[in-house]
Amino acid sequence: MVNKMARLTMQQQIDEVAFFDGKINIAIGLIATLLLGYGQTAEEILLHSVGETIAVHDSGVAVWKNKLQNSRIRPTTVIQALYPERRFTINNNISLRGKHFQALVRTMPHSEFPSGSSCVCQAIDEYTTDLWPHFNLTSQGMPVSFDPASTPVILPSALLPRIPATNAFNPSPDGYTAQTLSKRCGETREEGGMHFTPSVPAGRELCAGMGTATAAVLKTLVPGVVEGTTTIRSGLGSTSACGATCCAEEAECSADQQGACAAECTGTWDLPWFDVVGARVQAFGLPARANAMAPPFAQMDRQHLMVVGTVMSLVPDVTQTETIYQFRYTSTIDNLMWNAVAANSASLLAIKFGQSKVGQQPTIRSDMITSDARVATAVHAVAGALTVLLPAAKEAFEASLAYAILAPNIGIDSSLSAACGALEDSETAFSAGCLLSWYVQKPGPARLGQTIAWELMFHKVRDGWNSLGTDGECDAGPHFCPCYMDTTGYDPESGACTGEVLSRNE
Amino acid sequence: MDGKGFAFGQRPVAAFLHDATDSMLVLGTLPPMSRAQADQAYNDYPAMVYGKAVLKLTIDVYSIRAENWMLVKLTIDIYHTGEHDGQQDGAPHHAAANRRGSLL
Repeated sequence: MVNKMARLTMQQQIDEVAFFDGKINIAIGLIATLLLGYGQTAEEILLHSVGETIAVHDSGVAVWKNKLQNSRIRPTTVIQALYPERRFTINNNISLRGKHFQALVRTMPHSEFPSGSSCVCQAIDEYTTDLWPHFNLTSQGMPVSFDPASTPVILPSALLPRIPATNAFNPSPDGYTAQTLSKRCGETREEGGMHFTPSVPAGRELCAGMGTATAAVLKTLVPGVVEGTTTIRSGLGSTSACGATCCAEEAECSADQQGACAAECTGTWDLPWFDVVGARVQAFGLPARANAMAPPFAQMDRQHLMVVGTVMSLVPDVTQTETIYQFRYTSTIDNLMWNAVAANSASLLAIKFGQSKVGQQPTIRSDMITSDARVATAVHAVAGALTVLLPAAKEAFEASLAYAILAPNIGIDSSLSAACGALEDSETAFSAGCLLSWYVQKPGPARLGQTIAWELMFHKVRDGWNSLGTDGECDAGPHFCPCYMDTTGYDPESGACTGEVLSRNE
Repeated sequence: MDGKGFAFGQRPVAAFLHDATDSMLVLGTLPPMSRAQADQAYNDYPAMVYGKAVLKLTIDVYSIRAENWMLVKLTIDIYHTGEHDGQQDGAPHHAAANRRGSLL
């Protein structure tokens, strides 16, 4: 392990270890590549993303369970304890004594064996390999045939120098294919000094097949894809944003002209108009509107900006949490947004966590099928779930483009709680009929999004994670009953490690 | 460990996942945990830090014609690949092994 660490002598190698340390870098890198590299619609990106974050979540839970069973210590502890005075040469030819040894990035506060990274990246490899061939990938107008060994799933650094929202350096001049992503994601854990060699293949072995299983379900959400009677693009049936071409030129329109554009998009299910070129300039920090009219930014429409803007506003707070919680947050956010797409369609299926592990008919269908309706509903759904799911992100969300455009209700609407019960109340029962009754009183993306949030979060707060901190009859408030507190009494010294002998044995 | 509480009172992150069941997964099912087990070989921390243990035997023969003597130098060395005297190398090499004691 130390020998591999010593081979890191260039900044690009160090960046690569840091890049793969943040799994959100990978998730956003994939999204950015679908959008900027392959011209995918907002719904196509949401379909990919919900499956990717679920594959990561499910494999992450599996590997975490295994880590807790094995309960193994990290190289940092081993080297500091066994070789305090011996000198080591590590990355960048740094020479130090063992007692001063540190891994290249933070040492994670969970068991060393097996590698969580190699597990979840195995799942990502399998998932993209099985799903992406069904996308109509195009590059500069030409179709791209997906090959897991040669098609970049994360663009080269020249095209994507930094990962949006996390600002991490993209370390690869060649980009990553599905296969190289999995390979380097695992290898860099050892090179960074966070894992011993056996952990990496063990993580892959544990989670083999989980990404493939996720992709198999994802494809069924768009009826006809598995049967080969339709493509994902046709099955999703994306539509242009209202007023998509209105004042979407390099020259900025006058206030009157912009007012006319806005007046075109005032329907209940319309995505309100905004200056898409100006929004691109702001979102990407571009120097001028001319840059926003050129590839790859020109293919970013208002729907993209709303979806990406919503997700990006939450990322900083998500990344403040430990890895396994990041998996729960991101898969839940994507689940909310996908269910909003399905609810505004004639045949797309929803993912109903806690109710079924196969695609299900949405609890409510709006009879709308526009992409505007889907995106607007998605923003309302995320906003509705925020106070239960990720309350720390409320302020950042309120500063987002999506909030400025739609002004969604953050948290569950009091009238919905009054009608169907507080979702976090243990006495509340789930009633699809109640949600439908509340929705039909005032149909629109706001109420549809609220019902989607209520339904998913009702089941999420009962998922065994103690996300509210109230399990085990803990009723003394957040200081004494913190979210996600363990109530199982797990003892890290009670597992297989009891017989472990920490000895040099030389 | 998690940045909260007294250092010796901290607990593993998400320890409740020790009891994870299929119901905690969104779409998948848990794989057999037996697929990944840190066995006894995992207790060989020196090997994992440095590489695999190697036993190397070197015999050098010198003949001194004038006295009709023959000198035999025997070198036995046990080390882990990638580490010699606190330095790492890509592969063990003869000269380094010879620098360690010898029988004459």
